[in-house]
Amino acid sequence: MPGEAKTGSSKPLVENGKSKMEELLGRVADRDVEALERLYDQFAPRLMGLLMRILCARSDAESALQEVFLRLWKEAPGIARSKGSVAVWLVFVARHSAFQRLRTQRAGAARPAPGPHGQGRTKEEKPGGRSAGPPRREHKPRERPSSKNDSQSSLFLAASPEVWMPRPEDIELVDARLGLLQRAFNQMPKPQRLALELAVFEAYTESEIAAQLGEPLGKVNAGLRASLTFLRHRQHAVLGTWTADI
Amino acid sequence: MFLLGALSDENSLQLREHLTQGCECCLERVKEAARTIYLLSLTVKPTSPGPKAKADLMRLIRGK
Repeated sequence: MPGEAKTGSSKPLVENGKSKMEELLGRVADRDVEALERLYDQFAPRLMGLLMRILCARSDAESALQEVFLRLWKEAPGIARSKGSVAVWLVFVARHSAFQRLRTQRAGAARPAPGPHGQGRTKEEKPGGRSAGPPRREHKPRERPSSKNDSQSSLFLAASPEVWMPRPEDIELVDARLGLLQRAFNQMPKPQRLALELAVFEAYTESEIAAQLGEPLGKVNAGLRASLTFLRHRQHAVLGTWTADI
Repeated sequence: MFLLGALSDENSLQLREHLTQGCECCLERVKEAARTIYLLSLTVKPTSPGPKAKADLMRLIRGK
């Protein structure tokens, strides 16, 4: 029966050179519950770390995590057909879900004034010492919630995963050298890293970041582009040559 | 910037339209950027979700 959940498959995790995650994805597309559970066990802690970095509250992060895996269960056949990396798909869907929630929270924050540290987040809600980068900066309370609920980029990402998703083998290489790439991130000049963190983990646009930092938009824009170019070059160095000095 | 959702709506719309037309060069840059954002997103320390979160998910899946 289509859509019926299967359990108890004993297929090996690696077959014909396919990566373990993509193999599991194929089984999820086949309605194999055990495969979904194994993907969850493998990837949920990384997604949960990301979701808590964005949303702070554990309950919000767990709710978003559930949404991600329910979508995976529903959309697995299409993701498998796209031949892209399921790890990248999971990260982008988690980011999208978290950003939607964060923007909704901000839209509601026109309600009672946030605490002295802004955005209604409390210190108790913050996970401590998890980020490889600097600790979360306390930002000015926002006066205006973001108008974006579904950005052009998320529409594009959802509509055509087959054209933008990196291949699994590219991502395996990135994963294998994640530590070196994290070092590159930490080597960025602090102002650029801060601006990038606001875009990557706080769902701010470049103009909102400029307002947060009290900097001209042109300077913030140039800094963000420079930081992404820096990371791109470091990524080439790390993925292309082990001996690259980063 | 586009993939981060950090571009202005106007610039983002222009780029989306351009990508939708299938510019190979820009799509390759988008793939590269997706890899960078994937990497940046994983610079945080992993955190285990609670056991109840997994149990709730699996119950929902099995009920579907």
